[in-house]
Amino acid sequence: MKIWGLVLWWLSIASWVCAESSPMGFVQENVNRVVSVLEDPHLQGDRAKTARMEKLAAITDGFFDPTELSRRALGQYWRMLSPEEQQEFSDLFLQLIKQTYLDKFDTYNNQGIRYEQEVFQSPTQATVLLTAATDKGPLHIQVSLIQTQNGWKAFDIAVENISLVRNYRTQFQSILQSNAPRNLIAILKEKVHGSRS
Amino acid sequence: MVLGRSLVVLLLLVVLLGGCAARQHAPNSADPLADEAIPDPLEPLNRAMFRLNDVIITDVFGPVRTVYVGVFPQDVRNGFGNFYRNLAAPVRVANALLQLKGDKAAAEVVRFLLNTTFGILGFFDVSRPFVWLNPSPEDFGQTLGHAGAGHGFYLVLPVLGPTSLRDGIGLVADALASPTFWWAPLTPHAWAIQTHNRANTLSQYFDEYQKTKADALDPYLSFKDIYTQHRDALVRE
Repeated sequence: MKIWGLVLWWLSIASWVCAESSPMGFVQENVNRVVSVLEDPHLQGDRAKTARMEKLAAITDGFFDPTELSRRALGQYWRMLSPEEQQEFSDLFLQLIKQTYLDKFDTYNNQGIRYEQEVFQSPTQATVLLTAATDKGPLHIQVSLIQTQNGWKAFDIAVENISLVRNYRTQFQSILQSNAPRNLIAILKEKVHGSRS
Repeated sequence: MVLGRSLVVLLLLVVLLGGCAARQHAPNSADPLADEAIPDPLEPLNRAMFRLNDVIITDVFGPVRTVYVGVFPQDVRNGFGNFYRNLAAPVRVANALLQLKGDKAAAEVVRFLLNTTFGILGFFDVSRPFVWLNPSPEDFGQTLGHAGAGHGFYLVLPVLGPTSLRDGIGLVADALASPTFWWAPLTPHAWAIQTHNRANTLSQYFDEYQKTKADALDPYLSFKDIYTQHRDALVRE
């Protein structure tokens, strides 16, 4: 009996490690966590919205690599920022991304997600393709990931071929063409804190 | 004779817009970040049009939409959308054939036949469960893009919204080729059908429009980029 218990324990650890070690497994794991929060009977309705949002925000925090996300969104301008500004920008940008996605997660009634494909661009960079069923038809989603010291992390999400990072990159670059990085950080701060209130 | 003249116009467009294509697309690039921005020489005018369209969508259409959504539930609005999409199938088939995409044209024909018959004139999209019967749509803007034409430059049209020189020309060509145009050219019926089609589509994506606008630092640039990414992906497919 003890041996069976040991085998079961080993299998559960092994399946967890395998799921975490592949980009697809990482995405799947996080999507399952979001779904379990949305389906948790203790977290239903408007009264539990704050608690629900906090849990979803924690999942989003662990899902993205804020530095990679910001580096790609700023492109050539990333090096114009001091290390302190880079840190501040990364924190604020992740906040903005969370605001963009949390409402979307919250209104998603799980109609099924199909994991289509995992494509490696290099041993440390991959794309996971999935399709989410919605009321208005299937949504094709592409998650771009890199291997970090803490495992796979996302640095971009494209919905129906529209990349979130590229979309913000266009706006950041336009602002930085006529403003100093400090001004961009101030605009971002205003956006994040303004929409929170 | 008409076909010959159309071909000359098409070739001229490809040559005129082709120069822009080389600047806008990294060759065989799968990385969306590699695409360059679309030229926008009319930016002040386009921004004014964007603001006007935003007022039309938010302040004029918004209240109408509230009533419309209250009267017609999601399934019925999906049905209207399916009907109009089915009606435009001949235009998609023609564009697929112009791009020598025989498999797409065949899928569109089968889908049209299935949806028109079993889907009751296209109100029900009975072909949706079959992946191969759901090809990405083809229009004349994409046909020009497939032939090597670039966007030319960005345009925001009143009411119709974002487009480009290339896709604007495509829009006119597709409108002239559409069955609605041939059935009742420029009559109140045709306008009513077009207006309902656009209003129904907008009612479906009204919340997404407002959310995208709210999330943007510069909504004009955000929508311009969304348009470009979307169209570039369709041309690449």
